[in-house]
Amino acid sequence: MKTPINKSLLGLESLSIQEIENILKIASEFKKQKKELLPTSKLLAGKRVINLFMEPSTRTRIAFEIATKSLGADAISILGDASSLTKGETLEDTAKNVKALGADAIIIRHSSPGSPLLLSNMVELPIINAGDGAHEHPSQALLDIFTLREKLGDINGKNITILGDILFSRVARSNLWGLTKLGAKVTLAGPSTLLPDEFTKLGVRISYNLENAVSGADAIMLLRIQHERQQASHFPSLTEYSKIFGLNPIIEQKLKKEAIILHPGPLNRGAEIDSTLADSERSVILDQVANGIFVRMAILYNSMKK
Amino acid sequence: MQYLDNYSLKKGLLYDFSSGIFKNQDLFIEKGKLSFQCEKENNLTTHINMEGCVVLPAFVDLRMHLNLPGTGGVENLEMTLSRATRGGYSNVLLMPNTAPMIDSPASARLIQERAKSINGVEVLVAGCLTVQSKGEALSPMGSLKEAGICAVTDCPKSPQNNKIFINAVKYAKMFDLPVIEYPVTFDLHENTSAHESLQSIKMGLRGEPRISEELSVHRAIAVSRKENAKIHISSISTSSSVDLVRKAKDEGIRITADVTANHLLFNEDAINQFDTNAKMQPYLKEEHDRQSLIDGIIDGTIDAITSAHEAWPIHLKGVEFDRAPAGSMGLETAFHASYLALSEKVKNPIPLLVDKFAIQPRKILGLELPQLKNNKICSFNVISTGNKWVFCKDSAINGNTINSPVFNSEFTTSIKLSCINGKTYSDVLKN
Repeated sequence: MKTPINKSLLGLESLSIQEIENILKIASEFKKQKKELLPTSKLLAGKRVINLFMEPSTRTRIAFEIATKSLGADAISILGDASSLTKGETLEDTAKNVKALGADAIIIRHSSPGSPLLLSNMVELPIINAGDGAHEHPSQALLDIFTLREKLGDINGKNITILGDILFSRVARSNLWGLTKLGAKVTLAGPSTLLPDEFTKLGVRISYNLENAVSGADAIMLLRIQHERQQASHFPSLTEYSKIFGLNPIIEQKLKKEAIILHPGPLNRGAEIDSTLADSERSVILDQVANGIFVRMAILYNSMKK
Repeated sequence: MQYLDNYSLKKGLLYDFSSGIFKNQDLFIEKGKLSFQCEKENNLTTHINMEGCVVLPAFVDLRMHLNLPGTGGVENLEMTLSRATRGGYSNVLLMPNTAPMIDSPASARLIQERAKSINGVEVLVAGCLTVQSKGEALSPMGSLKEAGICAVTDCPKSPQNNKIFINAVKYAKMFDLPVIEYPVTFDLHENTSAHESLQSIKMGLRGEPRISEELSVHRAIAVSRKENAKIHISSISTSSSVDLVRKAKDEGIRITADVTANHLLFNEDAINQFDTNAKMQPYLKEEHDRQSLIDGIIDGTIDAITSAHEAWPIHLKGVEFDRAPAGSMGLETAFHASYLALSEKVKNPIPLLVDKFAIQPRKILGLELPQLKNNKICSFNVISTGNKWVFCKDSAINGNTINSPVFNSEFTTSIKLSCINGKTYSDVLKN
């Protein structure tokens, strides 16, 4: 490992509670400073951050760009379909070129699990994982936890249900590591084909019954159903999924009064969540998006500060 | 490596190939021929003290791959055979997934002719079981046998069509060609890059369920029973596969099986940092599987240990885990890795290893069992036990292909000297 691991953010599995708390604390400070209009804009002045996005992304990339600029650094995005990777260049060569162009940190989104770790072995720069296949999406999980704490207070002992396509979800994995480390009681729910039994070995409960999974929850974290990829072999149809696992006004009546709903986006309205619920008081989806900027500022600052 | 012509080996412990027992015996080699006594000892150029060493028959490898001659840039035949020599092999069985594939007499002859020009290790050639290993049509096994192949297999694939597989086994039996089945079920294997387990789930890798292998092992056993045909199952890796083979053997079904040396030494933990050098075919399994494989070696369920050697250059292996090709090098280290793995449960693994590396592979391929006879050209290895050494980049041939999970492993056995078909290779003279 060329770059000290604590400078990179590869995932939440390898992070200690203290490291998680530290990032959340900085994010909290940034949010407070924003409210009080205090300047944060010079903290990373003169630094150059490269967004190496080999997979499509809207909100994560834009949130990282805004976060980078908010700290006074340059943000440059390289998108997969416009980069030399599509011309057969290896990740190693792309990374070395990016470094030669004067990058001070690389934010990577890639479809291959483990690619941020690979990158961190190749270049001596802080590497920030913005999603690697079905492995981890640490910035999303940190902003989810940040939002949960804002709404629920301490999450130690709170019941959090993650619902949907667990098998292929990096958001589920990173949240699982983060939430369990902070003492939350996690339930994973979804169709049996997308929820292997092995997850129980990680200290979580699994459920294939929607009502059972959500009725005692303090928060329900929905995952996007990637129906274009999984429909044929993992569940019969989006209609059937929606009927059995979709969060709708009928099932809402079973929820705790104060239970909140999270979603990492993009939403499939009418599939995993009914439109009225997505826009209801329970929904904190847009708070997640807004908090994503402060949490990503904290991640960048934590990785790049002197 | 240096070539020796006339030398004596004193005070070594010789494995008697016919009786299976060890005895103290001096050996003398003159112009490549062996003798047990020497009247003109002073005429020999080199005297090597073999105290603490055992003399074993040269090894036979039942599975190695060579992406030649069409793919280029990987490893040439000379290099692979040098690795085989250093690993103590006298014969290696080349799998047919070369370029071009070995499914015609012409390609079978081509590779054998190229191999003949290289001194030392003899390359045995396996032909395809089905044309292009596509599992759609039987390969011309009769003509392939005439062209010199000594087994048929689609390794690292397997015919998925049951009718084709049954007929291929029947047809091969007519020519007395050993059928080697690599157990895999394609629709469970495709798009995966690791064994399906808690580990692959944590890593976000698409996992291949263990039944991908086990269904295929089941089928091989059923077909062997039905056709009363010998089938050798290559590279088994799960505990259930070991159980299935054990049960089949108990019932008298003509099944044999092998395991790769790397699967005896490593479990799936080896990939937990996305190390592509540990991505192999089949994928590494869980610790209980590894323990079952070792037990299978000890109780005789598993007949042989292979290298499953497959060299890949750094630029192909040094990529994202799911994009890297599967396969690991093994020729140089298979024996040492196996010794290390078996040492966990057996005080002296040497007799077991002789059986799995030298005796059983020859039986499976129908080769003559090795004998050390006076005035004969022989193949044997002198193995030192107890000297620790580390297998590193410098100790391997060609630093451009280092896709081995055993790099930087410490071994306690080393091959002090190999005599392969009368030619002797040794690193000892360096010291």
